[in-house]
Amino acid sequence: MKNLIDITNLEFRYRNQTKLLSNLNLEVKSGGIYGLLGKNGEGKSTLLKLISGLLFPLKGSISVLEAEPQKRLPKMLQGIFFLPEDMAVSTLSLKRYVKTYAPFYPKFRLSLFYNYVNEFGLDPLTKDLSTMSYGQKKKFMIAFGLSTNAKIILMDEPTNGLDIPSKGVFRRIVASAIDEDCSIVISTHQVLDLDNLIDNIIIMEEHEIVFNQSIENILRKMYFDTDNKIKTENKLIYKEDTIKGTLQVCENIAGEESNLNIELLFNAVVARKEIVKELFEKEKTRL
Amino acid sequence: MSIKNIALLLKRYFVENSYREILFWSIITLIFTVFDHRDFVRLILYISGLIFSINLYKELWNAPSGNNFFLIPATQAEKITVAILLNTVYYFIMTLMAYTLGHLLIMFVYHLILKISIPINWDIFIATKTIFLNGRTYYSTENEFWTILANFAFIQAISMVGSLYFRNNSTIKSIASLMGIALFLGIIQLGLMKLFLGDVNFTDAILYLNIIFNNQNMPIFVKYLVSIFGYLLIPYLWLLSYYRLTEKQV
Repeated sequence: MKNLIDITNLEFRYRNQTKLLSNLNLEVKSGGIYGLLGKNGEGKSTLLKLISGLLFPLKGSISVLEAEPQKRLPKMLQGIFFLPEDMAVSTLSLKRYVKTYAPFYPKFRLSLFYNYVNEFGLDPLTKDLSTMSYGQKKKFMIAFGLSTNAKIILMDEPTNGLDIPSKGVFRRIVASAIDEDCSIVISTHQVLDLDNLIDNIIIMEEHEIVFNQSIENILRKMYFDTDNKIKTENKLIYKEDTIKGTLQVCENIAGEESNLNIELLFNAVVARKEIVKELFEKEKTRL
Repeated sequence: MSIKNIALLLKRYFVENSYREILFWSIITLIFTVFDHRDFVRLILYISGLIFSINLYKELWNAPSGNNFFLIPATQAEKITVAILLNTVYYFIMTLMAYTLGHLLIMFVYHLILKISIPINWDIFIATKTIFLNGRTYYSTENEFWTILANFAFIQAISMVGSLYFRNNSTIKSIASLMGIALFLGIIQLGLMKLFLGDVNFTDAILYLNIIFNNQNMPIFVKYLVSIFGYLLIPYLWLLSYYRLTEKQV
């Protein structure tokens, strides 16, 4: 697995504003689906824009497919597809849009695109894309983006506006689109939509990346107790009281299996940043 | 630069704006059937061309469409080349075509309905000059095609730079920039003329630029220098647009 994205000591701020990203380091390897989580205003969308070359870093370096994204070279742009939260969809018909924009992507697969369109229940004979609802536009752009066969696919809140059945379809087609050469980064607040889909979690807190681990590693190191059973043998990291009872995250000393609760993990990382960091660094040192 | 990418970008423009283009050029053609005086045609060419050029990059000031533009896999050089082809070459040719079509249309109408034959008055590039020599008046005609094309390319280039720098009221700001640059060039020209042709007098704090100017007595190298400088401004402005585009963030 090679690094598709390499970010070192990244600093960024918008003009006349305080620093948004500072000392940010990130590696995205091929063959994974990454969930990018963070509170509002942490800079998730900005980070995706920096990766795709729409914004330029103030300091530090970004390497995307071994190129500097700010140079916006066609080779890099052919290998990356960014689906922003606010999309610009033209007034063209669905077929005409594909005929116009697909030739820019040499690996675009038309049959795959119509497959996705079909799975999402979109009408391939849509006359004007701008007349579609927000959710339909999103489905269309997801279908188009995944059909480009780009090595890096960045999605900012892709499930916003999708109806309940479409969220399932989204999970299914994203899971089917991934192969060992590409990676998908999904930034979202809808953590339930990422359930059983992502295999890596990136958490942003205080304008930097504080957590970047594979699900496998997380479950090996952490135990998620969502059944109100307090396990004394595992060292407690974080707990929260909900109407359903107490939820807790412990250090997985006993090596037990548990189900990942992304929301609980996020809260644990944000509230017990140092403890979580220490837990995973301990692992690194041991290795 | 890839010809294929340029062709794809041109195709994108025409596909996305086909309806607007057809409507606009139909209106211009109809206008030319009624108003076909060369000065009016030139005015239409310059003013509508300026507006067209300013609007070409309007999408960059809106985050969703700006994202879309920058993420298209083509180099910034290819994107700027397409903009130049559209706002200079395409627009110029289309204006001439609309003028010709409008002209033919009105001739056809006169001939068919009113049974009057009007000769073709295809003189938009012809300038009539009046020369007074030895107490007599002479008229001469001159073909100004290249001058008009250069003026047009210059206006388009400056408005393109303006549209990349100014978000709001880019038309007004671009015209103001145009006037600012004209003033700057005027001062340079005056300075050059002063240097080679005149002298300076200060009287009551008023500066008199005593220049004896006549096109004929202007040194030939100054003439060349001024025209070379003028023509070089166009590619310079294109280059400026290119660098502005490469540094633009959405």
